[in-house]
Amino acid sequence: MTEETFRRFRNELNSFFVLVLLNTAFGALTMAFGMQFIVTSVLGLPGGQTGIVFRLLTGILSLVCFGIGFAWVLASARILRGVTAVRRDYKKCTEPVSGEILTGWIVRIMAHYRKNRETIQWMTLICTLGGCVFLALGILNLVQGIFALSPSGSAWIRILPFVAAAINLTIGLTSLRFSTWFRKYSAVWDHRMEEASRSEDALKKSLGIDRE
Amino acid sequence: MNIRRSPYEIYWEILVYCKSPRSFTAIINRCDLNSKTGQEYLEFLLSRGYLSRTRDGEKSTWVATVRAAEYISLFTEIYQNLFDTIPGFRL
Repeated sequence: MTEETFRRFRNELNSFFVLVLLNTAFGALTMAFGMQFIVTSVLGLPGGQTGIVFRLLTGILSLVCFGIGFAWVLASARILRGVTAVRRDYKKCTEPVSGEILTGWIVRIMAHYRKNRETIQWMTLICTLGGCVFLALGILNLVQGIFALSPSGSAWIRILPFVAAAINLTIGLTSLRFSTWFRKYSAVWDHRMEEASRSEDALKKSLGIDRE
Repeated sequence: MNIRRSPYEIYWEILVYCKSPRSFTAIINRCDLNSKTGQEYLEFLLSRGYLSRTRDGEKSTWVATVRAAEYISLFTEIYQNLFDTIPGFRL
């Protein structure tokens, strides 16, 4: 039973680790693209075919992206710290994992979730917000690209807004997907917390442990 | 390390660690407790018969009793069941 439970625990922790790691990378990308788009929006695309309103709008959205990206990276790093510590321990473990060692890791991850529950919920919100902002930015890029479709100017300048739109729409959709994964992780752990507190009540009653 | 554990999780950690005799300092360091709360937890477990204290002159050591095994195994079963019965998270 312990082996099977350990396999489940390890798979889940690995999945969550990958999610938080990818999320950190996306947070960093958000920051980078936010910064890049601020520069291109403020200075205007070479040739300056697009209007000032569009540039101002994309500039504001890019600034929001940069801020969200920064908060995103900080929150991801905080979550990653606790997960990495447990992963490091079970990677070091060469012998078959005993029930007590595994329970110790479960307790640590549970405490980690309790401590970071709000951050994970905040992460869900950031991913949703970030996703929406990037989608909006991508749509604005598409509009920019369509308005900039004049026969004059080089092909590269005409293509550039579409490339930006593709990048923004991809990041936007991925961020929204991340938010659903975080929501799913939260739901699983909230369920476990409820079960644990129900079981702790049973534990308290059956063993007479009741701390006043 | 600032982690949030329930009292039952702390009891379990203390009892597992005290399978061999341990000093008070070793227990509070290992279980990440301050001396005041550590003392409270140990006294509680002592009063319930899950821990016993042996005095050797100035030194005291704490060790889990046979009764503690019952709590440890029940706790272990409950916590492992959380992963066995509830569908886990996967990407």
